Amino acid sequence: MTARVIETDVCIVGSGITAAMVAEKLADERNVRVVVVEAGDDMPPLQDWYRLRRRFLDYGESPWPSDHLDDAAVEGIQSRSMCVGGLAMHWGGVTPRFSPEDFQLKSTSGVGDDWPITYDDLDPFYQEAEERMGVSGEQGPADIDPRGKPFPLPKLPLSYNLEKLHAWVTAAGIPMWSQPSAKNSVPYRGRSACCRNDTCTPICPVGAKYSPDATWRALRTGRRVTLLTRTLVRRLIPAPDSDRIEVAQAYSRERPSDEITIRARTFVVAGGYVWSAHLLLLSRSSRFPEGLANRSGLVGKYLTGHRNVSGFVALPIKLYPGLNGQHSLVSKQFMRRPRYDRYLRHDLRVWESAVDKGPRLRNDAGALMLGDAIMDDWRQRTETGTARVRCYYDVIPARESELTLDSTRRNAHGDPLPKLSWRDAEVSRDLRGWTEERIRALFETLARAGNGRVIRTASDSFQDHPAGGCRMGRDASTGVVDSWGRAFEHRNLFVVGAPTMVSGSCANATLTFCALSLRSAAEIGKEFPTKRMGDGRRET
Amino acid sequence: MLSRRTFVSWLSGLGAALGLGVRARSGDAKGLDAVVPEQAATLDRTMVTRLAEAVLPGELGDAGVSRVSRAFTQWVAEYRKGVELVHPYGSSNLRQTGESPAGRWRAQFAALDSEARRKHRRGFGALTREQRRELVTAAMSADRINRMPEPLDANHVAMALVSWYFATPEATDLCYQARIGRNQCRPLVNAPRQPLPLANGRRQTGDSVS
Repeated sequence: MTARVIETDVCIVGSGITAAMVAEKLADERNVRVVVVEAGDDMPPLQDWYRLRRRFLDYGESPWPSDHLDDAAVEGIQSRSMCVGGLAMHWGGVTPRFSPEDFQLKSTSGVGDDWPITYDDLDPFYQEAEERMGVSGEQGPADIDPRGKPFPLPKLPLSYNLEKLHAWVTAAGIPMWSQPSAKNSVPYRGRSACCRNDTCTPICPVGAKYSPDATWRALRTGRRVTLLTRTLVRRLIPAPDSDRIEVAQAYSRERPSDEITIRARTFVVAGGYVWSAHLLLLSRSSRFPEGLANRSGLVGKYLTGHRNVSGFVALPIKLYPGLNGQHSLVSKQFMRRPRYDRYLRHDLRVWESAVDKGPRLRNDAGALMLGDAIMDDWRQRTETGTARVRCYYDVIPARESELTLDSTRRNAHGDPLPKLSWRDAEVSRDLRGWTEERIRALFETLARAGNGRVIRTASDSFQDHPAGGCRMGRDASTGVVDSWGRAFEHRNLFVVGAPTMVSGSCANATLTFCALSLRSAAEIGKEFPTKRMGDGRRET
Repeated sequence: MLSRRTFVSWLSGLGAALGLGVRARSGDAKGLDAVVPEQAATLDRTMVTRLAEAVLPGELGDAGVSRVSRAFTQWVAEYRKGVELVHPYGSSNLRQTGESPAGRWRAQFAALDSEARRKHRRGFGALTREQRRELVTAAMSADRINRMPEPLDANHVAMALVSWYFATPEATDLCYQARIGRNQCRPLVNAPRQPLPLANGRRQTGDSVS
């Protein structure tokens, strides 16, 4: 065994979207050495993406075939992604903000817990995240869509289909607008504009959708950070005489017998909702038998997210599915205004759809069709259209919604793998049936407003945009980290992004992960000198 | 429009429904550069064209049928086994593509030819369009499905060709008689406009089918 020692100012564990935000902000604003440690591989370069997308469309092949580690499977629902860029190499680029109510659920609605920050605290960091990624957006009605400054990019235009659907929902009395998205409506920061290739998930072939590889490419080209790939951090080790973290103990996947010791002034855990809590638990020792930052026993607890109810509505409107199918209308009306005595918050999105409008093999009489008969039948059925509707709704997490170490399943190093168990708080368990019933009733109301009918609805038991596990709190009894992501027990240890969330809201959460990370980066940066003109500072 | 999770699950499930063309992952999946098309896994283009004439819309015309047949044959030839499929959002499952369907489909062509000789004393390719369609209909009728299967899932090569063609952006444009151009690079500024009608009811020469 040989040992390699790396000395740096800041060590970031993970290279997903929140790590990219932290690294870029530090590199832009501070004179600081940053080492980023990623267990997975680099992803293919942009020039290969059209070819990879073609294989995906033709055969369903993954455009990111080496985006995970074989020995890092998790029991419980988990998206497989451990690579440079993380899960945001797959994301859809949808970037709504949370609502002010999300941060004060207990105070305003009597459910869940308040966050130790308010929407106003996060507003400037939302803005910064939108500017760094390039968010194209439309201002919704100010009373339900508050924001301090305009979106950095013009909105993605509504397609012909969405314009038609917008008229429909407007007739139903619901304000909806173009979904804010980290997709360039105009060229931005060296990336091209969206040209409606419509495969945002899983791959935008032109790089118009923001993905973290763009940030890493720029930072590495400018030698502004050091990014170690294929290097797994197994433990964070405190100094023998204090609670400060002294070392990240890592191993190269190329030479597993060679230990890499990374010494830093500040450690940032940016491993998402699974691997962040996992690393803290794995770092247990005789001094910290329950793991790091875990005297409260809260590491791994309060995993959160949101469920959804979706449906399809047949409408007497001629639509042309395929104009820009991954773009949608959005409304935050139901995230803000309580309509019932019981607790209910949800978003609402509307897309074009081809459901029930595709070609089929048998006619209504059950006879097999071929050639012209299929086409004639298809044409006749496409004189009217279908809309897809979906609401994410709040799920308040129980403390027992948790990540634990699974002693029965281990990785190649012999470390126990994570095990995920999702549990709703009692209030959400009690409200689940009623909540889904109210959302289905909303779909029926919408359908009636357009002289349409609901074709079908479905509820998803999966909790989307999972988060939590290292929740922020006002003190060590209520959280693992403070509102800046700083561990209460280890002053030079930060956890950033998704794991720090107190609750998962009822909207896509990635922008909030990024805003929280940038807020953490602002605090981390205070320990390092500010860059002055001539220091290579780059305005965003 | 399916949900992201459902959409990706659906794509990743290509071939899974009937257990064809997909296998659970074992060992390293192949990357883009590591796999070469299996040249042995090809179909007879002439036979594909004769089949296409019988099962695709007549409004494609001879040139259109020829173009679709060429593209379908190429699609089969460029299939690769042992490649990782896109994995669903929110799932730990990993799967790879399985065996090429070409061998199975070649055998079905041979069966069609054999049946043609038994019934009409001529090979499948020499039959009239109506005779070919009659044989194909008989071969497909046992399959009671209503929805178009994923082409790789199709029990019969005729079903595969039909479902493959009708899933193309070209077929969508032909159905709607409009230049929608699904999954193609199109100016964002044109998104709000109603798609232009097809010229003469056909897509422009040179447009790709896939």
